[in-house]
Amino acid sequence: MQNTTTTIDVLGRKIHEIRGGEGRPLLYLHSAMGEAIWLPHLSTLAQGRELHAPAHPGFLGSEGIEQIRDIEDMVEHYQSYLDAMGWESVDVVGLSLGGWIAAELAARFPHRVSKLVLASACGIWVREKPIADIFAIDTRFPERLRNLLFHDVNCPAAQWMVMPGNVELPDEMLINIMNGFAATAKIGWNPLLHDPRLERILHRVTARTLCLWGANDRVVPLEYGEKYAKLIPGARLEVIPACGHLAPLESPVAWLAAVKGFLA
Amino acid sequence: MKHFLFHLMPYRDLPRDFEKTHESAWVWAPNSLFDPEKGQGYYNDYIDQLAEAEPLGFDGVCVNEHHQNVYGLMPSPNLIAAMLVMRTRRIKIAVVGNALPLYNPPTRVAEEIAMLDVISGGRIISGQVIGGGPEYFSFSINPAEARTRFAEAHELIMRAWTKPGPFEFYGEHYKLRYVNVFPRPLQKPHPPIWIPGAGSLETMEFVAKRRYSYMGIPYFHIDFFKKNYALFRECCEKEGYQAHPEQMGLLMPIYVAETDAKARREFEEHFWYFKNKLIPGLTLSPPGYTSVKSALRVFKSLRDGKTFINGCESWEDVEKGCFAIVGSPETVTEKIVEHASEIGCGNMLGLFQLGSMPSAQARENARRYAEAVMPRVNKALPDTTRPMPAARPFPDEGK
Repeated sequence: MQNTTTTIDVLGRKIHEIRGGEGRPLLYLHSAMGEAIWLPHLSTLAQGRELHAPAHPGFLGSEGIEQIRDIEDMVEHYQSYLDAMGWESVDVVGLSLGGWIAAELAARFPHRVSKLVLASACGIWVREKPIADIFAIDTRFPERLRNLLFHDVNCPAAQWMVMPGNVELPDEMLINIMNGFAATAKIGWNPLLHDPRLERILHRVTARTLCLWGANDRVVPLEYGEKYAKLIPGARLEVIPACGHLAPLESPVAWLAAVKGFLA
Repeated sequence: MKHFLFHLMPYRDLPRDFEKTHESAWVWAPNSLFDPEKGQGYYNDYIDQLAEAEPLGFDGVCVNEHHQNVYGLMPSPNLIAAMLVMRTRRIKIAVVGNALPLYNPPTRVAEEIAMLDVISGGRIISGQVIGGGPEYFSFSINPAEARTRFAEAHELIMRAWTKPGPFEFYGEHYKLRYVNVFPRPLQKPHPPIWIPGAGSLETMEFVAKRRYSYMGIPYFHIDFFKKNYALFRECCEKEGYQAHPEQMGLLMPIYVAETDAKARREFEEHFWYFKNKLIPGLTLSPPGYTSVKSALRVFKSLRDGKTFINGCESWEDVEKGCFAIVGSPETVTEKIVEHASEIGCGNMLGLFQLGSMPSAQARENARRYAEAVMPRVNKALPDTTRPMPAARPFPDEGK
């Protein structure tokens, strides 16, 4: 299948999605960056699989954020999405915010997720290592955001990634960033990017699970990967050395090898 | 023209290098900086300054609500208003405003304002605001719900004041089985409503539709205000009426001395204290706090370095944008008359104490304004005899 952009109807909400590749379906749930766009790691994930990367409500024009008050509503949305796609069960890769949604989905509707990759996922809380308050980042200092997201701020991805406040961005892009951040705030403002109920239900997950972390994640520290791996039955933790929060961008080779190997 | 003395109650004794060692005067400025003994002096001085507005001949005073910051020490404006109710007999007391989404349930605001209105004999103006961006950090209230919470809380308060209780109010955010606010306000049907806005069209349309008063959020370039008030007047016209001057208010730092040169000399350092130490952080705009359209506009105007006070680097910038009205009584009168007549506003809200300005100086400033500026402005811009349009009640449909 060619890479395509399409619109899906989920409970009457128009949802933006990119699709590509052939094979068994693979669902990718994006982070607060809103990467339902063809970044290199998504192109690679689409090799040998039919990759679907929908934009969450509020991101990239996907509708329905008005009806979503919290993570539970977001998970309901994805259950309806799976129904709309006609999938009884699917493999899911979720990055950061997307990982949180994926973990909730696998815990609340265990039979609908076959294999689960939680990459740099928020969603739980480790008191000693709080998740970074991404909402408090001052856009006057784009280098701080870069430093938070990457282990090595000189890596190629850290250099090409656009930081708001850094350059003149076209209005459409600013609007997408603002809407995406507002949608993230809607479900993750308080408690900060986690759901205190989730850790009590993670034992229900039946999906084979890989927790994949950058060793030096400054947004959702490695301890979160360890905690997820401990709470999800049979889950395995894989750590990418010298790598930060945006692992698929900073260490694409190691990250993709781990994900592809696990999904094979 | 109606004249109001507005007080922010700032923290005056920050370390000289505060702005170098702290990025924000809000949310994260550590409260170890607060010296309670100094605080005692500030509060009592500031309350005296406000109470003195009455013998000086002002029409009213304004207090406002901000949390966890060094810019203004008034987390509870209703407490200060309560003290002023007992210290004054004639003047209006405008609470501009209560940040509705920070009250849960917001019927708390309906109760407190009604108490103040009853005790003061109907002298309260109820300002209602969405709250500043920093407050959403300080209260951990979801900014993506700011607008819907405000709209719902406002409707709840207005219904609580006007609709016989008990009744049920089941909104998206607030679910109350029994709304029955006791006491009800003295003013009929309710105290005047002032809504501050920073130029978003949605706010102006809402205020125009309901026949409330629109107060421009301060510290913008005068041209920005002029554009906004023109828009507001248009919104009123679209609603089929001409905006009443008292539906609009201009809020400005004001300083009066014998001559222009003396005024600048006495005032300038306090302005820079205000701008450099107290403003940073005020414009925090958490995600979802405003509509994307407004957010984009604000984002751009903050960056152009000209529209907002944070861009002022020289006294020339201050004068050019009219970020403060400073000078001899003649100069101050002239500027107020020029801007107020163009804007069409019937309320002048003055900050007579700004930044680090000591109390004695602030009181002298207010006195000179009252004696030498107010009568001249009133002569040039007499009050209209046209009555204020009546606020529209919310339709009585079950919620």
